[in-house]
Amino acid sequence: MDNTFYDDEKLYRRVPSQPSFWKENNTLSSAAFKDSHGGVSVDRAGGRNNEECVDTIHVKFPEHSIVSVAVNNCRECDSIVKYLPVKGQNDTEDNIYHSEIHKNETEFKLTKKQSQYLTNAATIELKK
Amino acid sequence: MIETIMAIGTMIMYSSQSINNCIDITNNSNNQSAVYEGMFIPHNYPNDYFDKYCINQSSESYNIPSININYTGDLKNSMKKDKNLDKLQSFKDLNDNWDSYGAPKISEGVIESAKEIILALRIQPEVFPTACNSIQLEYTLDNGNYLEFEVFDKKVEVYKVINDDEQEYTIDKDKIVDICQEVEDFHNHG
Repeated sequence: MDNTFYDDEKLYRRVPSQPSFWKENNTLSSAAFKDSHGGVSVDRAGGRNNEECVDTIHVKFPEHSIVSVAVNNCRECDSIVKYLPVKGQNDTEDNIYHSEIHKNETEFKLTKKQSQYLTNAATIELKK
Repeated sequence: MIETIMAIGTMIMYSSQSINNCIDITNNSNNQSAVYEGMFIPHNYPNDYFDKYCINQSSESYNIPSININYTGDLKNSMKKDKNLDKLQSFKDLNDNWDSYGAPKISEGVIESAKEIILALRIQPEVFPTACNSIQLEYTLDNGNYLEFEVFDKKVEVYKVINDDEQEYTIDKDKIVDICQEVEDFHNHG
C-alpha cells in the first residue's frame, strides 16, 4: 500500500459506546470525528472487502461502533487523507491500515465544518 | 358573563405567573448564586444580566417576563439537565485513551466549565466528550439548523449553521450570558 487513495476507498472509524456519541435522533455527534492528535485516525480498506474490515476492527474492539466514510467524502469537504501505518510499541500491535484525515496539507485538526460534514456523510457499519 | 369569568381567570393566571417569575435576590450577596425556575444563575453573572432580562426592577424582587412558562417543556428540560449533569459527572471516570485512539483524560476544569453552562441553560443540549480535552454541547433542529459549543478549559468555540449560513467564533468560557442568549436566539429564530 502507498499514499494513493481512490475516491471510493472506505475509511473506518471506531466510536466508543461508553460514553455514547449517538444523539437522541440516532445520528452521530461530530465529536466522534475529533481526535487528540489533530488528524482523525481511521483504518483504510486497503484492498479488503467491507466485511473483512469491519470484522477485523470488531474483533479487537468489540464494544465500539464502527462507521465509515469514503475518501471522496473527505475531498468534498477539502480535507485530505494520509497513509500513516503504525508500528506497534509495547502493548500495541502494528496497524498497516492506519491513516489520518487532515484539515489540509499543512494543518492536522479538522475544522468544525469538516467534522460535521464527515459525520453527516458517515455510514454506520456496526452500532453498539 | 362567560367573557367576564374568562377575563378574571386570565388575570388570576397572569398574576400567578408574575409571582412565580419573581426572583428574590435581596439575600443574594455577591458571592452567592441564585436559582430561578430550575435555571441556575451563577454568582459571577455580569451586572447587566438583570438589566438585559428583567423589567420592573425593585429593591426586593426582579420580574423576568422574557421566560415563558411552559410546564411540560420546563419539566422535560429539568429532567434533561439532571441527565446532562450525571453525564458530565461520568466524564470524570474516563481515563487516558478512553476512545482507544489515545484521547487524554478530560480535565476537571473543562468539566466544571461545562457544568456551569449546563446549569445556566434553560433549553438543554446534548452533551458529548471529545478527544481534544473538551466537551461538546449540541442542538440540532428538525430543519437542519445546528448549534454547537465546544467547551475547553479557558474558551468556548461556537459553531452554528442557520439556513445553510455558517458561523464560527470563540468566546471566553465565563461569558455564560452570551451562551444563554445564543441558545435562546437559536431556538427563537433558528
